[in-house]
Amino acid sequence: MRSMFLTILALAVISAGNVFPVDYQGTVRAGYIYTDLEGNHAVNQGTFNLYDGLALSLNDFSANLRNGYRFKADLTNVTLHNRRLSLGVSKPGLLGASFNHSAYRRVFDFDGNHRTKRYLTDGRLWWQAHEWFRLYGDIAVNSVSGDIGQYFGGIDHGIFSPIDYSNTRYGLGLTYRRRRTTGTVEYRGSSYSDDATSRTASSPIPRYERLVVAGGLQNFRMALDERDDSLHAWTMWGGARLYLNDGYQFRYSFLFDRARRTGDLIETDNLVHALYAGRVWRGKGGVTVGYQRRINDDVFDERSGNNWYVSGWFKPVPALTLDAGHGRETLEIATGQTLTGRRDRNRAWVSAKYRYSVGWFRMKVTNRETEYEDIGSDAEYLRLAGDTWLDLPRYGQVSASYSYHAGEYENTTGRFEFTEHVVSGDLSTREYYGARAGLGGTYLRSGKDTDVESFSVRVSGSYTLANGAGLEVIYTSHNYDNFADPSAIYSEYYTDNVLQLNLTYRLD
Amino acid sequence: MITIEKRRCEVRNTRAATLATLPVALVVFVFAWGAAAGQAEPSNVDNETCLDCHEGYDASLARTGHTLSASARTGVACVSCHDGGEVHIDDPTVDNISNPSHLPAAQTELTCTECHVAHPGLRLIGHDPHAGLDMSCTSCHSVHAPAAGPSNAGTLMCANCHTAVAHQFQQRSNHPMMTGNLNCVSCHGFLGETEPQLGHGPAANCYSCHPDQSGPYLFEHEATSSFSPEGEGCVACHTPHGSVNDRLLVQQDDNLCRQCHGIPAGHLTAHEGGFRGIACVDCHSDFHGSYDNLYLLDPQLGTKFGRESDACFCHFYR
Repeated sequence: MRSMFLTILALAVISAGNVFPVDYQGTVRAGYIYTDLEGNHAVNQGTFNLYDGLALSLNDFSANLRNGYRFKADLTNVTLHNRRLSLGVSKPGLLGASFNHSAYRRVFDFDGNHRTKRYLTDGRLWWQAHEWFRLYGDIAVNSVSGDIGQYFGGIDHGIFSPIDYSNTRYGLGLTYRRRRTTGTVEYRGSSYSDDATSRTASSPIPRYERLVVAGGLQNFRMALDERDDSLHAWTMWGGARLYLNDGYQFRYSFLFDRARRTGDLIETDNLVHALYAGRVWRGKGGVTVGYQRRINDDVFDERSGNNWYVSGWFKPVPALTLDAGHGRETLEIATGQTLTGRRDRNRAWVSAKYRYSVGWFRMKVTNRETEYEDIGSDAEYLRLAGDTWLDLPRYGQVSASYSYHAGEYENTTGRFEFTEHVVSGDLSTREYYGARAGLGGTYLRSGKDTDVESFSVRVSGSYTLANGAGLEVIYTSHNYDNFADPSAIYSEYYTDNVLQLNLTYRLD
Repeated sequence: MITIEKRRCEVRNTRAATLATLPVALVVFVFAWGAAAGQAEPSNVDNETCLDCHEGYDASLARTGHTLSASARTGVACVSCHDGGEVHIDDPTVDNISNPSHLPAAQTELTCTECHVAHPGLRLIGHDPHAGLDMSCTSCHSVHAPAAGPSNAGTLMCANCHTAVAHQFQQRSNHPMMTGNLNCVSCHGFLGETEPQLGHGPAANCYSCHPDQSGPYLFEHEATSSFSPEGEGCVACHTPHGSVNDRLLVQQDDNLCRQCHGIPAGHLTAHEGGFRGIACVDCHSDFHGSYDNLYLLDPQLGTKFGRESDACFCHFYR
């Protein structure tokens, strides 16, 4: 994929340069990434995706031909496996095409030998066939392969199983536009394959300026060879959004799903209806209320739930925004063998954000509570958070946040509590004589029945010469310790030091 | 090194999948629900007249989709975005010519949607929560910048306001956003591009990249399949921005399960208490859903614990 992208880009630019005068700009980066990792490689996802080695990149590249065509490219780490590539060509008002490809990995074992790789690739194409009509299409493929660690006992036991699947989504549409009138007809579908199952969805989606209608139908059939049986499922979903001129909006959606084992006619039904209504007073406030009814009925349990939702925001003065909401679900189990009784869920939040001339400050309180009376279970979480951002043109930018997270649960078998403190901040200077610097860090401490400490440090600097050449240095360090380590086999201790050195050159 | 071939992987070799798709009638609409009335007549001031004074502004647009008059199908001119040109050429002050980046959000939106009316959801921005902050097109797009895309790379742009959320991605377990493989709009449809959610709930965002967990299952885990907007579905157990726990889990170990499930007495006494202290998911390993087991048990449970048979028959309903 990398070579294809590079070849296309090189041919496009070279041939275009030969035929038409080219005006281009972008930044070339050539550098090296050093990683020093110690401990359990499966712990810190932030560094899963780092590879040692020579890194070449071409960022924010664009080339303009005299005939109006434009090429764009952003190719990051093309020589490494954590690449991110995007290419585009367009002629404004006539046609456009773009391709994106991203690769990253997930590590599952102590030494980093067992991992999965995920590839995300998508392409889009549009053509202005007529002043009033535009045709467009897109396709996206995401695939995963490799070894996945089994979540066995909540810790890494070195148990893996292979995984290999891909999911393809695609769409084709036609848009009509004449002045302020528009309409779109779009077809969307998807297919999924891990060599075991596949599915497809057909979604006719007519879309207007103020009315969006969507829906789909899926027929899923899977043979269960060892049982000489099969699983057959129908899923149907749909909905509509309507936006009116004076700020009113409505949304309705439904889903019906029936999965059935054909041999013994065991089946499971899901039925959901949801309705939301809201109004926005532009720039002043808004309110949304919603209701959802759902029923789940399988062989052993029949459950029905009612959900209520209300939220709103209000600006008493232009600089202050208040936001609050509440959601509640009541689940009743009419007949149950694996579940019983009634369960209540509540969620509420309140936040206030104040903006001033050089930044803003925000406070937010979130609370979630779940109560399951028949098993005597109660779980409650509280989060208090504050964050701020400052932009001082003469000096630079600062952002910082602090959050306190407290949770406790209790049931007939015991009680568990935890608290978390997370402090994070970043500072970046403005450019002084071609030089710029940044410093940041995150610290987390989790206590009570847990005992976890984690921190990361980020330091960066760059220097640019007048001729467009420059140097970048980025240093990061991560550390994670679970002092109440649950595994006697694999410690969760992890630390790393990562240094990236780049020589840069500005094309123009 | 132990390697247990999980059911889903075994399925790959033993089950033949068949697919039947019912085509759904494609409904075609040529209906237009818009406001053509009231559209201002375009100004006759040509670009050259503007560039006599605003020298170089055509170059700032040359690398964008707003290249002056470059279009084969649609034309872009200075007066396409800036109203008041005829008055301005006689009295060139900043007060009699409009600048969309300095207008109230509602007026900026009207200017941009003169052409970008087909942008999905663009006209809906007034209904978005961001409207509360009077944000509009130019809050993110700089038309005269080298590229007319977002004025700051997507993720960083969002992080300017959503600071606390950005910092959550610094936690041990996270989605690969800080490395640029994903960005905020990979999951959040800022401009109303959330039609797949209609009917599927927020979990639809997760299923596009994690279809192996989406079912349908005959025996469902109620939390996974509830489609509830009140914190259920995938986010009942996973916190998508970042977590101190592995796999984005909101709680560690059995504490996750025990928020909703008690421990049946038999688990503490059966097998002479031999399974006391074993994690829930060691046995209930099909926790996202099962094709044939009510209790979401590992279909190879027996093998996992050293028995010759795959199943622990006392616990299976098949």
